[in-house]
Amino acid sequence: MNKRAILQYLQYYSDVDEKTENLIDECILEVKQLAQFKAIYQKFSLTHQPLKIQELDLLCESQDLEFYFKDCQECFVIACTLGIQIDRQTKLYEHIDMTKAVVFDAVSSRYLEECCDAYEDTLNLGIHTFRFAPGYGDLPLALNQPLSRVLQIDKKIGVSISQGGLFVPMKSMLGIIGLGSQVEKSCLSCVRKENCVLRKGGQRCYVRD
Amino acid sequence: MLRERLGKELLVFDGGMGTQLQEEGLKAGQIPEEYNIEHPEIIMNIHKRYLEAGADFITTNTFGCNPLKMQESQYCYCDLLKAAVKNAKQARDEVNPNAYIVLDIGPIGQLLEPLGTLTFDEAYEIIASQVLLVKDEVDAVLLETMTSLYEVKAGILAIKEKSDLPIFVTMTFEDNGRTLTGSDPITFVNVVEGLGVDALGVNCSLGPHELKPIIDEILETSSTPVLIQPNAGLPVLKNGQTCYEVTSQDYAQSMIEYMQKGVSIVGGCCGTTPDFIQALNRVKPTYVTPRHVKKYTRVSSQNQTVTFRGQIVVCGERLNPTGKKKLKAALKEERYDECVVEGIKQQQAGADILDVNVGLPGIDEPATMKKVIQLLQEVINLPLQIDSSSPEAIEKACRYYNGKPLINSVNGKDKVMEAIFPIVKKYGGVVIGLTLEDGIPLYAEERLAIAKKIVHKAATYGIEKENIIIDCLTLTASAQQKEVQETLKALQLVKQELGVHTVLGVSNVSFGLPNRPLLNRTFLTLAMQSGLDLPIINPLDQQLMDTIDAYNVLYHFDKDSVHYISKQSQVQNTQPLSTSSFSLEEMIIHGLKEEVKAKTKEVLETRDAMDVINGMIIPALNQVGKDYESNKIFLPQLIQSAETTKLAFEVVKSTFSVDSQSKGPVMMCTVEGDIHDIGKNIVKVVLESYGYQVIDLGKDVKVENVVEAYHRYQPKMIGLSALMTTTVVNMKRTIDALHADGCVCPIWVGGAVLTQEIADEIGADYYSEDAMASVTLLNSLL
Repeated sequence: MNKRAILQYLQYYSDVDEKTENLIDECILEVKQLAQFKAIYQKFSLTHQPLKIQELDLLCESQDLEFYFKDCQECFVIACTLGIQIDRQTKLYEHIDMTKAVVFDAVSSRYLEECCDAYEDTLNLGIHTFRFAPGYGDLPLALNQPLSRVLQIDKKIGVSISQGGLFVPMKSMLGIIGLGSQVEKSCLSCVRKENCVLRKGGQRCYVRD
Repeated sequence: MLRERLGKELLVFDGGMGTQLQEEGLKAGQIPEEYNIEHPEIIMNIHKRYLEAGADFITTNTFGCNPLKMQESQYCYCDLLKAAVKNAKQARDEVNPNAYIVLDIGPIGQLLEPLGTLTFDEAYEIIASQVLLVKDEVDAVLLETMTSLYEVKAGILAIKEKSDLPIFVTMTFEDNGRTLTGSDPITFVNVVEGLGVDALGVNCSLGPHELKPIIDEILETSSTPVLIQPNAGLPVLKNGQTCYEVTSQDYAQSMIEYMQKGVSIVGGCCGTTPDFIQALNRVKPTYVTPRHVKKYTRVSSQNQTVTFRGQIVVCGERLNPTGKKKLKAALKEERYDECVVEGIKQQQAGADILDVNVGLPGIDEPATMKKVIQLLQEVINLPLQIDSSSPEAIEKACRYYNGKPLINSVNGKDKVMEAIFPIVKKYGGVVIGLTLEDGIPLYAEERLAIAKKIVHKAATYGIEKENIIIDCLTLTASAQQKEVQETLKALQLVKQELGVHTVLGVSNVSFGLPNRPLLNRTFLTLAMQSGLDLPIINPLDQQLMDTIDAYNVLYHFDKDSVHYISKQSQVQNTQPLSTSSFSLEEMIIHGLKEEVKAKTKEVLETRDAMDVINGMIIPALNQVGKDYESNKIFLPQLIQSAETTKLAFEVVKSTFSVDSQSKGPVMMCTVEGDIHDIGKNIVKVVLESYGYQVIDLGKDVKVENVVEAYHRYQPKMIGLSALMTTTVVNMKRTIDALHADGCVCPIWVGGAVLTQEIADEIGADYYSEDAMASVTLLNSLL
């Protein structure tokens, strides 16, 4: 796993101390053992101006997505989760060891990203964009609901959206990937570039700014 | 009568509905239930095809037809539900009037509390409303594709309390052998059979071949008729579309094995069609193959079952306020976190079951019991033993418990048994029977007589002896030395004559004598030898636990001494904790949690408590704060230091009263609808390390509960946390409600999406960016 990313989640701006590093290693082992990664995807066609998922007649009201998907005729919607045992274990640590709870939480978040990346790689997407999750940039969070229903994420991977709009289990996500266009992964092509806490602290997520 | 045929005649369910609807033109994103009103002929034709293929049951097209999921439909779920039943009835009338119509209920689509936000009562009400609408027009109810055992429990109770309809339950298991919420097949059978259903089994997720280990396990465990509805093989994703590749002939062939093993009802799920049902009908025998299921005493949580097979089962006794000042105070002050920590410690020490007793004068025992059980079950996997003398508390605990509980207890008095046995039967628990009536009889034979009475009376309520564990009662050696051995005799007699399992509260024996652990473990050894199965003990007593490990080796329960070797070799290797040469201040700065308690005690020998606080702890803490703000240390280290300080404070506080020194109280919670409370918990730990008394209301706290708590606790400040824009709305509602109720106490807010701007918009008094900022804010205000 990418420890540098985990440290970023933990808001580290410099070298890690030995004690925290050991704790991260311990949590990586536990998270890997406890997580039940499950994922599902579905492919859709896109129409433009305004940007729409054709089969669902679903409008994606987002300038960011309009921009990044302008050359994409199709998209993949992916939903995935680490399962409920991760939530349970995080809660357990919150009762007896808050430090470990925080590290465990950060490791789980990172593990979900990496599992999803690996899953994406198995799908042979060809040239494609980043994964955009509703709630990220100006992509409305409300898109989660109709997309989740179509993918049947409750039945297929055990994820529900609470009345408050949150995914349960907590370590779950849903993302849209545009096919047929590529944006090189760099900090400046990120929709969060204006208000990224890490950037403000002088950090970069990608090799290229 | 349907019930009379179940388990005798081999009956056939229908197959997939969704697959058929897609063939008829249902598009992705369309709501299948709307076809009940918009295309009734399509639904009727599907039912008819299944009936013509030989299905004895047709299930209504109502999988997601509940008030929550149908919010997205233009129709009310009530109308969709009624139309579904009408379509099924018409199809039945036209093809086979003897067929049964089954009301189909799928998962609600929301995870239940404590890890989700839907309450047990809400789940109950949703399913009850579905049943009430059509109960006179259907022949049975099917809860299917279930992934949460808790939701299944709410459903069974709702159906039973609102109708007399037969109940079928099928859950969905993944390839790891568990449901998506973590329940295994044995736990599923144990809990659902306890609640009492007419058939149980599996559906969906996997094909008949892949489901083999799960179906086999269910057949070996369940005395109830078994129903299976696998998919047409494993789903294959092609271009993001789900396809199934097993043919109807192959499907029927692989189902033959299960019918020969004693499955009672067969059908199909995703990908199966009328052809599959016809193929099943061709190969099925007329009658169900009889099964012989060995019965065991079993108690379960939602994802773990303890089976009594002769090995020693340890019940942890520490969650009981009797004689425990700290726990008493925690329960009275509603600091339930301490109960949970006590539970976790016992789980880590190797307990198999945890006793839960919250009985205190002046406490609302049923409400407290419910609260504590839900908090424990959020993080602890062990089955719980509900311990109370109040039938109301027992009933409430059994209702909200997720699993099959152990109930402590009844005794030989008719009145007690008449109050408790109906609860045991209704909720499907295992009950402990104390061998006493008006007093404890002195002689073993008399205790046996009471045990017999309990077992016989339980049978009249339909409670089998596997669901009873007899307590032969430990007497105190200091008071009744001669009778101590009567308990041991009684254990033998009860085992021999009644064949039931036995339980004892062990530590009673040593009361009033010195070196109690020695007497406890000697008595435990004798009791185990006499047939004790379930000692109720303190699992943190290492020697006592070691005695049990040794016993399990000597009696060949710990095969090849695997457990013993792994544990005892560890013990040999453990080096005593080396006390480092760090000062107390350094320990706080470096977050040395393991060593700080001893060090604090050491410095208190030479220095005054106030001096330790003001001269050592506070300066160290200030240094930590500075280091954090200047990016010398980071979040995990900050929390580590905060937790270390908390431990040091605890030691100082135990030596003298520093209540006047504690600041606050401040009240905190994560707002309604929001379950992400790690941020709030970080702030809490850091505030506590600075000496603030924090009243933590928890997560997903309803608006009215915050207002009520404000009046009860009269805090100096209120902190609210929310993670998402969608829950910030509830933060505003909470603030508005507090203000409307005359709250003048300052409110500060925080959370991932919050900014000073949003805080101003929603009417909060202050915003803080992180835990340290909260400390600075509170220090400046209080």
